[in-house]
Amino acid sequence: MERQNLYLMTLASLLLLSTAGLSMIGGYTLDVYVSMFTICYFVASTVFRPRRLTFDFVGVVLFIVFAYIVALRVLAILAI
Amino acid sequence: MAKVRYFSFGAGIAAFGAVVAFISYYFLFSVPFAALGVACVILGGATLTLPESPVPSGAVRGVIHASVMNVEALLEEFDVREKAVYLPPKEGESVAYVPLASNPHLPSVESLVNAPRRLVSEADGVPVLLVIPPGSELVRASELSEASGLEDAIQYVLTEVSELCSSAKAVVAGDRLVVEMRGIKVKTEAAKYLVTLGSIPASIAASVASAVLKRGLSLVSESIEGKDSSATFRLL
Repeated sequence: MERQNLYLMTLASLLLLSTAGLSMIGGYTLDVYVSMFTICYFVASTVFRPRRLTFDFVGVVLFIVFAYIVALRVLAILAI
Repeated sequence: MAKVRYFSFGAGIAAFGAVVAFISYYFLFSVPFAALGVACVILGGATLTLPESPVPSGAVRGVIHASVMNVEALLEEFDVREKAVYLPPKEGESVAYVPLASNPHLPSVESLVNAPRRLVSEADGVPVLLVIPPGSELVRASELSEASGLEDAIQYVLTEVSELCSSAKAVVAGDRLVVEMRGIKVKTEAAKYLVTLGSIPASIAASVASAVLKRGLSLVSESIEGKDSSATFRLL
């Protein structure tokens, strides 16, 4: 199987498992899901290193969103 | 073999996911379904960045072999002894020029780019032979771009598209490009081709490099030991 197809299947499986797992546990907000998706995306991208036609804008967006979520959590902990 | 339409699939699933996420979050108030929509958007976005499926490797090897034999026949006919200059693609096609006369200085890249596209042409007063190396079609089929990265592009074309070797590394140091290839699966039996354009994998790597770097390059030397090879090119 081509590496790119394997990458897509693995990414889809990871995303689905994350969604199913977190929803079964229940009680999580959307930012937790997005954080897990970010980890899944970067793990799959690092393992398979797919060749891309363009700049990895998905990775950049996910990283920015993840950083924003983490910053909000840190601020909440610091009670600012 | 069915071609995977990455762009269509990616756009479709991303749009679907966006709609599902929006409706689930703002109307159904369901976080898991909204997360599923977001996951679809991520998957669709990742798919959009992937290039379409390349040509099957078996067909690629056949094309490469035929191309090398054609070029070898030309090189033998003209009894060339000089190293070829690989040029970046022009109008989607990359070519190489082989000087037909000994000259201490290679023709400039500009003169070669502007030389008339004939079998035998002239650049800087030096007669040159036009050859279309096998890497030309592989570069076109692989949809390479400057964003690909040099080493990634060379590794992809040599190990996945053509499956000519197990691994490839490329390093640019000053005006030199060194390409190391391991586990080469094809032997270059065309003697003049080997001397003028390099071994088959090295020749393809040169075509890829000229397309990605947008520069001309010429083979300096190549060391072949068993199934490993190290080729050095001079960037022009």
